[in-house]
Amino acid sequence: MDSSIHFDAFYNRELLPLLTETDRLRRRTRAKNRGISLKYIVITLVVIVVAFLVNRIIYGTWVHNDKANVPLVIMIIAIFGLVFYCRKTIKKNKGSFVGQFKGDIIEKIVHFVDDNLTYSPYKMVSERDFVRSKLFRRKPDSYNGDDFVSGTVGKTYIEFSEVHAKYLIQDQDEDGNSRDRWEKIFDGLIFKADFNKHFNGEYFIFTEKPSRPSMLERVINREEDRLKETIETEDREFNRQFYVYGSDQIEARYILSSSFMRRLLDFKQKTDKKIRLSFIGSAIYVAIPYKRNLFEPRYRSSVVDKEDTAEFYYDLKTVIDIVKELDLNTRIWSKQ
Amino acid sequence: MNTTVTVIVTIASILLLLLIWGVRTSNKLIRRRNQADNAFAGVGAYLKKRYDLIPNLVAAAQEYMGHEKEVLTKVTALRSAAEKPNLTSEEQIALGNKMNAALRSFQVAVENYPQLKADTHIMQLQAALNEVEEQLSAARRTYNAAAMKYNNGVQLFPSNIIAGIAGFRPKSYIDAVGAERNNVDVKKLFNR
Repeated sequence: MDSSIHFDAFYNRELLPLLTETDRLRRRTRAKNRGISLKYIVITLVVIVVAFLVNRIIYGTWVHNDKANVPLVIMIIAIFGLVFYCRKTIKKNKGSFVGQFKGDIIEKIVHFVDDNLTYSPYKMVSERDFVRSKLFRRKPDSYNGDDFVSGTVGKTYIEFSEVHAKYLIQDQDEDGNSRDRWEKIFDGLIFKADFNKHFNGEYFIFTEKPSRPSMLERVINREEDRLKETIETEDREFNRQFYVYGSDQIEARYILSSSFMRRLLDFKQKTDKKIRLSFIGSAIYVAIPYKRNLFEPRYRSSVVDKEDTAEFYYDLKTVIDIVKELDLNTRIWSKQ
Repeated sequence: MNTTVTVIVTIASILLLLLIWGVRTSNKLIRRRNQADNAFAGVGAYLKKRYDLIPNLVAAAQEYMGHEKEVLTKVTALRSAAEKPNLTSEEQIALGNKMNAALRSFQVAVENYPQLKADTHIMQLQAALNEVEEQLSAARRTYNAAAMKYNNGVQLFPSNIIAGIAGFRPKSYIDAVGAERNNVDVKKLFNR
């Protein structure tokens, strides 16, 4: 059956009542947060008025030019504290709504796509795996993520999550003061699966020409060129769309069978994204960049929105279907 | 006098440039030939791995395949032929291709013996064989790619001049048909 018809039925039958319920929570949360904001604004105004009054009583004027104006100083500190607590409470309330949405809606969609998968809204693909995948040249200084899905699809163990990785650069201005600057390494989904063939080397497939360390960088920074040799396959279309690198020409072709290359071309066309793949330590890693934050509910308007919900479904399906698209379940004998 | 010097210097420069080009082209051809030889050694290694599986496969199949003796005999004979020392690369390729065909007949013959198809040992051996076939296919594709690069250098102008002088000969390609067909068989085998 067409997956959209399938999803429509599932949406009407299971998601709609849940979404309506969750939307009630969203409205309650928003109302609660508005109340909190109002309460804090009133308290702040009272604090300001009291502070000036006390200041006038102590110093005989609203603001004394030569004195410390202690009540006003206390007022400023109090306002900072109030703003901080107000924001914290609002964030906490919003967080519990988002948590409930993910626990109810996203988890249901994940199970709808494949019942064997587990969804953990606050976990992520480990930083160790991210570094081990060698998909990116830089190691992250800041690494976080959410929406972790794991489990076995057919015979293949998979896991993926949204990931945000950045690295820190220290710039020096003209006066010699150093300033920290964060540069993005990757925002999007990282997918890891057990590959269906055994291999010993490390292989990389990119849709854009990756940066490689220059001779100077290799000597001075002792940076190893992880990509090793360039591999040119016999599929011209594939060579036009992908850059392939790796440690062994024969093994690279063993991984890149003609059918696998065709499947990868189809997958690239379907996702229409600058994907990266690596094959390391018996696993396949795929990085799919996304500009938007994935699987996050709306807060300011209703979550009962079929289009939005379908987007969650299709985003999940695209990733989970990698197993099917790349035929990872058809295993070579020694990896049964 | 000045003109003579100019002419001599020009000719000497041209000869020097030609010499540098000749050396560089020759080095490039040697490098490509080595790459092709290296890739061919890879093919040899997987051919050997495949030949090593044959005795077990024949032994396991023999008791069921009474009527298909000639298939097994052919496979065994080809294996013995491949064991001979000092085979040229052309002979190795030819034997490998014959073995592809013989193993294909074997796979077809297996289809006629439900008992044999159900035998776990045979199934394991066939699956192992398919795995080696995939590796062999990869090695063959690598060799063909390296051979094509080398052959282009040997046959295309102007590097063919140096190839002719230095005695570089084009390399033959390995037939693609056998291994590709077996790639497809893997899936069929697991879905049975």
